[in-house]
Amino acid sequence: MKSSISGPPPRTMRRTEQGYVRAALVALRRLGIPCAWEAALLGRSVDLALLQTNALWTVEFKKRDWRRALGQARDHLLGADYAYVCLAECQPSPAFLHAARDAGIGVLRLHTRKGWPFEVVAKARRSRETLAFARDRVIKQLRTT
Amino acid sequence: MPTGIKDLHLVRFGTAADSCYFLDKFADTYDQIVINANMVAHMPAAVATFLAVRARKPFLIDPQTVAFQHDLDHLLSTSKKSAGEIKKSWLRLIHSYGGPVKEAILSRSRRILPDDFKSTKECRDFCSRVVAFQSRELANEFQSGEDADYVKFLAEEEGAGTLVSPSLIVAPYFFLNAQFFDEWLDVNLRCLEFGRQAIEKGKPLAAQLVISQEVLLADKMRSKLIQNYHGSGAKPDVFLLWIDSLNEQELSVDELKAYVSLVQGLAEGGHAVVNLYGGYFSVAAARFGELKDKLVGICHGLEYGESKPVVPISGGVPVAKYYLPNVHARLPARVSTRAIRELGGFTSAETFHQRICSCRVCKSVIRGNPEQEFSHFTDTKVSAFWRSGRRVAMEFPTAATSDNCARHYMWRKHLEYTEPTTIEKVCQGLKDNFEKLKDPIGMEFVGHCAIWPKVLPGRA
Repeated sequence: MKSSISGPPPRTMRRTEQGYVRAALVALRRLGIPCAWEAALLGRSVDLALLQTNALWTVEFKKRDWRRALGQARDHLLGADYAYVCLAECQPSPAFLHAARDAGIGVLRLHTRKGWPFEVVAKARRSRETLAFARDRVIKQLRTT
Repeated sequence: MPTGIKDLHLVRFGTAADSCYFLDKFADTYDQIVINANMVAHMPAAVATFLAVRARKPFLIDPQTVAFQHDLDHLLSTSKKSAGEIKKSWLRLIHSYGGPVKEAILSRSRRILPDDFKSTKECRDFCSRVVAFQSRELANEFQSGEDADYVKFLAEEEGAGTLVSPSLIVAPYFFLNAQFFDEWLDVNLRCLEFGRQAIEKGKPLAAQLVISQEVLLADKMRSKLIQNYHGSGAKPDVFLLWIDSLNEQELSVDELKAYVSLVQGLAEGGHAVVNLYGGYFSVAAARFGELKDKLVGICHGLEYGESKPVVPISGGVPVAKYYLPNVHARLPARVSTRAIRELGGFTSAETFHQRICSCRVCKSVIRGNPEQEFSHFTDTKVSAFWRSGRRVAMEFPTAATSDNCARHYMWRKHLEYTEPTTIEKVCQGLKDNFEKLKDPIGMEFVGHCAIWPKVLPGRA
């Protein structure tokens, strides 16, 4: 006999920041995109770095604190072609989008569906600060498997 | 009366690996060596050979009696083989110094207390042993040490004398914080007097003052400190100053003024003062600023030694940082890179040498493409591992990066202590660099360039 009592509604899976990074990394690796998590860049640790059509992207994941994320992403501009912030658990506020645009930092949202894991909320400007040696060092850390 | 301080530039010898930055071309870049007693205890033959045969520089030994005032954990080994045991170098020092340090640490497994020094006889004997360690430990290596024959052989080969004697003796000293200021001040003053009694005639005696920043900033305690040391019958020939974690680059105008006031107070009556952990503010103040003829020496270590906490902090990843002469500070790679770019240093090798640095290292490293070649000061190895369920990637400087940064630092320090300039030029340079860099690298790294000029020239 079928019970008429349904179970509790499925709980939204809460992850750590690194949990989100890992989800994106797995998706990118499935697509064969060279990427690395916790990549070292001039004394900073980049949450996720990836090579997309010969352009080096860095992505800083934050659950909430966008100001801190922007500060870190600004430092990524020294090695990346494009630096992004991915806010994992909240909608980007107008203030955040404004500050990101001023700094030339792009904003991403993480998808849970298969395929490309990001939605570009705001495009990043190409960095004018990139140091060739710093970029090369990050690229050396990327892997496809 | 001689002070035992040869000139302005003192360098602290940290580890055996540092020795290459004290020898050969670097030998003429500094005046005197400061070496810690635990290093002497750890490898006396090597230190004796280094000082008497290879470096041949005046030196002094920091007896590090302050170390027995902290939690004993700081004295313990962390190596797998002997984890939890007192490190051999400290153990040797404890045995050499004897009671009351030996009783407290080895018998009672606790740090020393002011009450341990109540007995006049015990305190006097302790001071004699601390003085004897500094006077004789290295010289003994030529006579009766385990490697005496080898040390003598090396000395003869190099035509060096066989005796290594420090240029001054430091009386036992302990940390003065606001909480137990009076108790430890009393012990320090007694140790100073007994130190004077134990020292050979004609040898300068140093009083080492190790104080917290609270003591520095409290007018009453600062005055009491000065009065008591000036009033001491031991009449120290020089004051060696160590202010807990005093980082000149992080100080406010008032804090810098308190530091200047302390040095001026101690120097009254012609006393010599040395800052054991100082940076360019101290150097400029001593050369042509507020502390001219008062601060007679400023000591730094290799890269890390311009500020030091009294209670040691262990751990952390070694970081090689480029010392940016324009702001007289070691900066993280991403910050120094931004600053150099802003200052136009990456335009060509010539502009780098003109606007940033033209020391021997920078001239040999930066030759054609400064932006690319600057990586020789920032290159790292990446090591990734799991810690507490998280993946962590850490960067470690390559051996070549550390070496380039250390050699560049030593050449720059030499220039800071010797290059002809004026207080007006120094202050103007600091102010200009503050204006240029405050936006691209932030106040955190360049704020001191606005603060120092407010204190350096004094009332002149």
